[in-house]
Amino acid sequence: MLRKTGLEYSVPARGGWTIVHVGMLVPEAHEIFVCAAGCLRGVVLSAAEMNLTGRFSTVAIEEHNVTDGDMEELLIEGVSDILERLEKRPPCVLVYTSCIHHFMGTDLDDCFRVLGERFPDVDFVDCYMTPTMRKSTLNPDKMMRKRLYAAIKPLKTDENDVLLCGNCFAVTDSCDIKVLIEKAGKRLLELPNTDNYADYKKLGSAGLIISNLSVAKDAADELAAKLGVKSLQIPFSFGYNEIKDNLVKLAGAVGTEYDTFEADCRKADEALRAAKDVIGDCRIAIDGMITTRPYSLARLLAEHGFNIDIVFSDSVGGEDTDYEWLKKNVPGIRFEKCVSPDMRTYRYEEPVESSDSKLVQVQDNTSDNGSYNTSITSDNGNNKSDIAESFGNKPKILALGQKAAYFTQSSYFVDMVENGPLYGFDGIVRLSEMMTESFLNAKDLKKTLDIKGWGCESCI
Amino acid sequence: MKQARKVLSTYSSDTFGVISALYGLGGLLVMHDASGCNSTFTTHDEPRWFGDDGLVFVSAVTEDEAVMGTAGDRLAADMIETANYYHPKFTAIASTPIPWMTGSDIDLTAAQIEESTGIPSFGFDVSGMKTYEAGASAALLAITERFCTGEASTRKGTVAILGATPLDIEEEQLDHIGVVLRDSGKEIICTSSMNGTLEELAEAKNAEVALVVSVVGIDQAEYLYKTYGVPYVIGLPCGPVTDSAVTDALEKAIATGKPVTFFEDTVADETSKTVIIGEVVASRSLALEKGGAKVIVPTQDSKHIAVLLSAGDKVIVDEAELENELKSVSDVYADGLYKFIIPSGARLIKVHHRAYSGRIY
Repeated sequence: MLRKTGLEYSVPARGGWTIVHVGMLVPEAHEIFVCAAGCLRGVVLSAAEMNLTGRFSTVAIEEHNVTDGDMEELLIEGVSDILERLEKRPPCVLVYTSCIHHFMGTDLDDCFRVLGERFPDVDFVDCYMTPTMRKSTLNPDKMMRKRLYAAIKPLKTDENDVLLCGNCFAVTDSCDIKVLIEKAGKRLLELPNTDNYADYKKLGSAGLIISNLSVAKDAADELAAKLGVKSLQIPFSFGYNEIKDNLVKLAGAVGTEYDTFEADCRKADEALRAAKDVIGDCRIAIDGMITTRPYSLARLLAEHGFNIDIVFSDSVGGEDTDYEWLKKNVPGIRFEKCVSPDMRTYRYEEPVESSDSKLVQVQDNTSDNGSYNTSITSDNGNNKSDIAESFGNKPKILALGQKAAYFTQSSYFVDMVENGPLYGFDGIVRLSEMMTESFLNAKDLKKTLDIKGWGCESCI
Repeated sequence: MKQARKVLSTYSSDTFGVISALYGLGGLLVMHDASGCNSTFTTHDEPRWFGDDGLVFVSAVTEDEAVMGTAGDRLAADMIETANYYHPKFTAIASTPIPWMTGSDIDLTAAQIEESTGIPSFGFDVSGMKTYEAGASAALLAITERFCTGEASTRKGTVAILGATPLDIEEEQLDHIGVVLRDSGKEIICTSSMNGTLEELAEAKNAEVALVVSVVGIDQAEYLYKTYGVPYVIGLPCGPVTDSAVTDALEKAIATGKPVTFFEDTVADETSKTVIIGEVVASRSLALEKGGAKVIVPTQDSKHIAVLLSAGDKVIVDEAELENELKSVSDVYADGLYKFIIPSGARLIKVHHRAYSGRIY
């Protein structure tokens, strides 16, 4: 096992959103990336595959710019040149700079000051493609969520407007958050639901900012401070009590009561039971791509009798109580770290049969300190192409998430990223339905995983 | 402004050129990058990633490491551990903008890995700011210099295909080249490096002649010519005219023992209303196939490009200049992503170029 190496592997599951996809949530905005060719390659083709080339431009940094020290001039003149050549002037331009600007100490403040003077009709937003900051406190994902709302200016506060901040997907109409807010006689605002730039600017009227993703908390706090209103974090979870606590907090903030806990629990239980009736003891693999809380999901399903086999994640929260619960209460559960280089040649192996004494041991291959408990081995010699497909009329394994599907090579998988439009008890009901549908209907694995940006238009 | 592109895409970079050229040869390949390069390369530039086990990773360099200058030592340790796990035939590191800018000693890191593991190791100090030709060309030359050594024993009737990477050559094109060569009685003993092996590459020195199918194989061909006297032909068979031309050129090269460019005697018709945009060898070959057309090469990071162009051809990397150049044309052979600057009234005949549009088209 390769547990100490810092090299990282990229799983060919492309549904995750990049900063290109996220930036495109600002209606009518034009993205301009100022980067080296290697950095531009991925983002320019992401935009092209989304059929959004018309909203995307680039300024290429060349070696001589580094030695000449003309990064400011390149940025200012490059962006200006593009704006002057566009057929229609966009109301907002997201200018993405890269690691190299920051290592060179490029005077970005001055760049944006000059651009603002040259194009007073344009809202310029400084955005950042800085992967060297990926493991920093304010990582690029958090930063991008903040920059999404940077062009919003305070409007007259409307106490009836509640903004859900930082999500890439609008929640369902039946979502607990939306139902509760509407029960209070208020309106839920969401960036993905804005149709044009004027609508986007109207988000500045929000009287309360809420967020349910940890990467969105900074964005919500910053926007709330700018608008002079409160920010409320209601973290995404699959745990009934945690959901309840959040809904109680939200209810209090919007001036109503959350009084349907028992009924909501029943609905979720019934949905899970209905899914279990169909899925039975089929093994289940979960990844950290479908949801921001894979261990919470695994725990929910395990508590409802599902056969949780394996959890794939990029990292494990050391203090994650759900993770600890799973290790203690789900015999044989396995954990794998997706980015580890040995995952490049990973072959899914069926768990050891119950008669095997090793079953009660937990295989945890996510630890960086090489302290995984045991290594359950199999001599079945499975290849990528001959594992995990259906036997009889039922799948061998149901994967929840694209990475889980890839690693298990299962065509039976729930295709969703970053919690999709789900939240709360209603989210559990919807997910149960998706699990049942995915168990009964195979998908084209490669074709599905090839598409970048789940939910986005794609020309692939 | 030359470096600003309103709507056009960007060509694959030198970093990806290195990895593409070496992919499939059994090496451990690492891009010394924070994040993003791995996903970009394996999504857009490497069609084999989903279905095989080629070893490509990123070093995941962090801000602290870049500032403190500790990334090299950590990279060496990580690659040694990974090499001891996988036992690759070689290891290679391709740099990216931040390590390049901060002066990371990639060669030293490669030397440390080789000293520790005994596995041949390469360092490519590319910047991530040039186009793929620079990296692919350097990688193919380095791997050939290292593994194609010793005494040569020329085998009559054999050909080595050089400069074939998925960035420039499609599988179907490679199949077609194979048919053309075999129909002319030739045996292919090496395809470098797409679908080839390191062992086959070592055989390249024994080829009677080499066929260079893209500009990235020219340095490699020059090495084989100067070291082992293997003559070469530059050109891409892509239809009846060029299929025949390449066959004749191979015989000419064998007879004279000298390099031949099969389109070298053709001159672009400057008044032609037909324009071909793309990689220089493919585009000039296609121009010959189509009976004359002006070639525009939109990249400039290979010293061989200018040499291979005829008087009427051009290198144009400026988007506005290219738009202007196309104003009066009737037919444009180019990758589909050039559709945004094709004037109304002109016809775009799509020629997929992975180095430009990746997996689109």
